[in-house]
Amino acid sequence: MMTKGDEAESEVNWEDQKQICRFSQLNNQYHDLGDRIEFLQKLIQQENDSLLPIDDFELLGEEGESVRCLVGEIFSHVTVDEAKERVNRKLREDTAQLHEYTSKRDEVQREMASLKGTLYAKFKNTINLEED
Amino acid sequence: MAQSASLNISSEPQTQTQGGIAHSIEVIFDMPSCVKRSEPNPRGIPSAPFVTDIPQFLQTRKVEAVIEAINDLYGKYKFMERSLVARRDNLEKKIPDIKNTLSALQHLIDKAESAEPHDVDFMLHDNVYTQATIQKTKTVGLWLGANVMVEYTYTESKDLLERNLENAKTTLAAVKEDLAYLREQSTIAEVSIARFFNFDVKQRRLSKQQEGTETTEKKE
Repeated sequence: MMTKGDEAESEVNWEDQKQICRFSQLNNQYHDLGDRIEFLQKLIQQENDSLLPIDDFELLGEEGESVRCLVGEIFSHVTVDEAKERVNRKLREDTAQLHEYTSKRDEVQREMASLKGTLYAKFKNTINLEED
Repeated sequence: MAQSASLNISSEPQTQTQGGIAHSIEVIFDMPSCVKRSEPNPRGIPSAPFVTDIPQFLQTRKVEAVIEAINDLYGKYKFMERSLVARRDNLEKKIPDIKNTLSALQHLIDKAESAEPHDVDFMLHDNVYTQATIQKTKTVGLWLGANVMVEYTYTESKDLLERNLENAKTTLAAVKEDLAYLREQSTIAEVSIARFFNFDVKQRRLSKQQEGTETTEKKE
């Protein structure tokens, strides 16, 4: 773990320890947000994909014919307009949430970068803050 | 008795940590002048000690006993972390469930306002659906578990579900806070183990070098 070259290593003080903890916490948050962003992106993709078939149905289906929309565990018979409205509302909510997560992740990333700078400056190669 | 025990231990560190990890940890790290800790956790998770002055701290303690004590504590943190992670995952699943139920309820309420009966397909069994017509209703059955379903009015059930959602969110926030705290304490414990270990290695190397220079003085 420790080679002769590291002997001049700086001793870890309480402030450093707090910064290391903060970094570890941010790193966890970063991954957590990443998972959420990925999930939302997939969801939004699905929602976008479902808009097109509704349009097709509107053109090809009979006038006034209803479509089935999944509500909880049941399929509700709704008009085409209502279905579009539902999907669009969901899309707006999810997109807003996605933006929130993305900007939060950028914030976390910035703080991590600045902490990395401070900690590497002090501990050089005796500390490892990279992903395995 | 406890008082005299702790006094004895400072001059002769305990090597066995059996019989109460928390106790031995408290005893070994009972030295406020060079031990720092995080702010206490609201739900009583013990904080990890951070030793600021290792050489002074080790004047009255054996390094092996200290490392072992931190190691025990670290194991405890990891155990708690696993159970909290399970709780968190559980809540993370429960919240979308409640949200789904709420949106179904909202849909019913919207439909009730339009005054026309409306059609739905519902699942009879896996892969078998059939159609039902919902007349204008004012009540809804909520599955409470344990084979009990209770009929509520729309407003009542909405209140209940919203309260449940709120509670689940509050609990989730608390669990997440505890997890963050726990991880912080684990990090402190990890860093502490490494610091004591490195300090020990350095000490041993120094004493070896001293021996070495004494015996090989003539050669040099």
